Amino acid sequence: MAEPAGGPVLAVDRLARHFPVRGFLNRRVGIARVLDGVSFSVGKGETLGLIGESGCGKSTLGKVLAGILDPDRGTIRLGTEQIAAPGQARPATARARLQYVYQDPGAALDPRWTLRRSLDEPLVIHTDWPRERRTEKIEAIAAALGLPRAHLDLHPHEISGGQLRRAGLARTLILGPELVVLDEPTAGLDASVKAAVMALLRDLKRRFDLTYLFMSHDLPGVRSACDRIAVMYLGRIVEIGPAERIFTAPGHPYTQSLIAAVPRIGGPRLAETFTLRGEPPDPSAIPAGCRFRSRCPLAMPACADVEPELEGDAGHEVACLHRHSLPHAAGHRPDRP
Amino acid sequence: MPALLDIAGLSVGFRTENGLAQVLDKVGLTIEPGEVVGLVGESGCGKSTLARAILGTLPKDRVQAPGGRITLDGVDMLADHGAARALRGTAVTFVPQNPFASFNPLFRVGTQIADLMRGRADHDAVVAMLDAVHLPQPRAILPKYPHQLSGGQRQRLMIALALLPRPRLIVADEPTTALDVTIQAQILGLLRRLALERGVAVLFTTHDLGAAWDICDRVMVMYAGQVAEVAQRETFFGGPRHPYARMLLASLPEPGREAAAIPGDLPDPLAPPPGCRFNPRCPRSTAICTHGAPPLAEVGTGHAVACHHPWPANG
Amino acid sequence: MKALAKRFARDRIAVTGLAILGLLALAAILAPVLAPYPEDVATFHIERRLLPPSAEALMGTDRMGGDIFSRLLFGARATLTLTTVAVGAALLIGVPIGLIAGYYRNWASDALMRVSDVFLAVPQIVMAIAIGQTLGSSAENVILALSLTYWPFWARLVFAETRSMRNEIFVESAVALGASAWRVMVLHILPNIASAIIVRTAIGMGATMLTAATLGFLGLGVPPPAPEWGRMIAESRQYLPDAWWYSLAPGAAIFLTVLGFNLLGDGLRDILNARIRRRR
Repeated sequence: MAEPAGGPVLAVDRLARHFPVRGFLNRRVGIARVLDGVSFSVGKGETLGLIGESGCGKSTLGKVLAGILDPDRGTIRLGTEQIAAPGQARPATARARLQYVYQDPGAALDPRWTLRRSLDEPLVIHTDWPRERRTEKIEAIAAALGLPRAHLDLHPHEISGGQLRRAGLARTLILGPELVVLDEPTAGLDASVKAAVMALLRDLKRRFDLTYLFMSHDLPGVRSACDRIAVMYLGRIVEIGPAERIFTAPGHPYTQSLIAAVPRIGGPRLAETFTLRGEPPDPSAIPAGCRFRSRCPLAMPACADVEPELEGDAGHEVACLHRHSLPHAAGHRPDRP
Repeated sequence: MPALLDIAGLSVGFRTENGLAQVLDKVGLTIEPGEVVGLVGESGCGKSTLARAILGTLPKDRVQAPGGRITLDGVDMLADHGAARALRGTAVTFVPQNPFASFNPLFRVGTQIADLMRGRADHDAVVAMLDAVHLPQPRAILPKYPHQLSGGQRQRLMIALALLPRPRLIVADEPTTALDVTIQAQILGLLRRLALERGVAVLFTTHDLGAAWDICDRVMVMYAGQVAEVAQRETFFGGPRHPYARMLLASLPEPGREAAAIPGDLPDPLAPPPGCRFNPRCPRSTAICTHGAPPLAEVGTGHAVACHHPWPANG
Repeated sequence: MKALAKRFARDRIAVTGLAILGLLALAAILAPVLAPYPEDVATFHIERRLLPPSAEALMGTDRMGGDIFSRLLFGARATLTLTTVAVGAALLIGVPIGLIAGYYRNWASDALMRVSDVFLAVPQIVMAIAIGQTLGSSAENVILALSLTYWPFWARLVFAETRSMRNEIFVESAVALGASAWRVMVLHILPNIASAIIVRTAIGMGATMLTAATLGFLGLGVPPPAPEWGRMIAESRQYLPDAWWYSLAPGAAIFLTVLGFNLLGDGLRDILNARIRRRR
């Protein structure tokens, strides 16, 4: 759908990050391959959703993108510039162009600093503007986010949660980034607040001409906010495609289970017709072949030999050996009669 | 048939350093034997306080003497006497939101279960129950420590513990909020099936309307300590009459329409709005809404709304 | 700031501690003015030796005839200076080391902490005596001994606090923003761990003072005839129990001062902790 003109804003190629597993006497007894070879691209102005459950690696992916963690393998390109690779120090300009928003944007603010000072910091680090110009910019961004000017001289604990969220977002946007990684922006929020936050993010995207990478486990929210969606399982992407197709005609058995697990108001009770059993295996003991085969209703002997790659057409790719035999269009889900 | 749980006019206030927070305001609820009732509401609506009032775990030093009545099987649960205490842990059990906090990290799971079930359930009954909640290899689970189990496994364990004493009512306080969506689907299905099989009533609190749809027979919506609406599941989700309930449903993202946020903020429990606490944010409020909290009035079989200007049926 | 001052004023323990210390500081600063016999710092009046407390000599006289009260006031200067400089030096060495070791997570951090472990293992008094024997027993050497054995305490404290702060979201966010290590350590982490340092400093002053007095008692520190509380107690030993006033005065002074620091520290801890709890 979003065919990038002039190249994608973000291109991730076979990105991997592992963590050592420590045992007795702190010796390394194994490796948790938390992020294990992820490739995708995001076009300008697009919102790419990233969904998956605990242990899928999406928060590690977020941190590698943010520059908080370094990759062990693979590369990240922001536009034409390669910004991350094993051993490469992230260029300062990249830190300005790619911003990361925490689940609680207000938590990113130093509790002892006034908002003004927190908003000033990105400018001090990345620009050599004089004080007047910085003040002007700070007040402009605060106004753009609906933050009263008087709040700028307050501390985080002196303003409301909603205002704090806006302050955190203001800090993210003050440098005019191209790409914003949103890490669970609505997790733990009440339904009505979720809607308000989603509306705010939509508005900001439009006004600041942003591209979003939207990581969330709130599936209905992801469906309505994203253009394309990538589904992660145990460190890899198992399916990627247009948002509506992922929800109405998921190709990968895991995606099908994931979509089927979301309660649908007005639909049948999940009860135990929901047949996905068990839990994902440990990232330090990933089975050979397809990672999902231990729980997959369609597992066959070949699945243990080959780890399927993402393949597909019309922008919809699935990493499954059954790809050709899975019915796509009818929205048939094997675990729902 | 008398209701299993009968709550009427329950008001609970917490003493804080800034004043009295009226967390529950004349709340009423009945639960019949064997039915699954959902208590839905956002932060601060009082659902957890209500659960704790039933279980008798309100912090006594901070709570002002509660008004109203809670009766379980005829026994007054607000009074802290022997009859009430005898029911806790036997006739009424608890599944918490955070299962990790309920276990002592220093002892094996099996030891803790045996301790809880002293004399009331033997080893085989415990293993049978662990099997019933689909814990893989129950005998292998018992010697493990709590941190060795996943969130889903721990929650299954809590359900097993809640069912072992053969209770009449399980109070489940947001039991799936912290779980992944596929695990949540498994747990919701499990809890409902087991409760129905054994004739156990469930009070299920949540802020997730989807989960409420999935597991409950009847739904009650609360706002800021007041009851807004009570109805059978289909009636409620098909067309709620209370403005808050309606706006709550409209705030859920649905394909094809924008999710609509509810304007305004939740009220301060220390200074709630007079009358109906939703009135500052309500598009249908008038002067009468500030004068007195509207009573919960029947508008259909098993369907009651507390509103001076409810939406008409199918409006 | 104002709110903090108000909270402080309401905490009686802290105020008492501050009052004691304030009096002490005043006494030390105004010693030349307050002392009835300022010349007794250096001169002797053998004929007046070992007199009990009276109207002329409020706390009696010592073995050289000097007025104990006057010497006490001047002794405050020595003791306080010694303590402040020693603690200050320990902070100046220990805090930066702790910050750096806590911020980075590499072999260098481990090395720094192991070095501090070594210094921590040496008892202060033993070290001071050793230095006294080799380099001489002057006040400077006492300060050297005290700070060399005290800085690891601060390094460890700051290391632990920094490590835990390092995982805070706002620190991680500053790093992601491209803030330099220096900026994160000094502008973000340090202010947020300052309250822990301040509280420990108040209490640490008391402890160090006690050690300094002990060293003075052992003969290490400012050389005679300059007055110093610890040495005054040492001098008084042979005249006990008859000249009881001789040990009582400096002993009470030490006691009061250490009490003042401890009270202040306790009070500060309560105030600053409440503030932290409110913030989180």
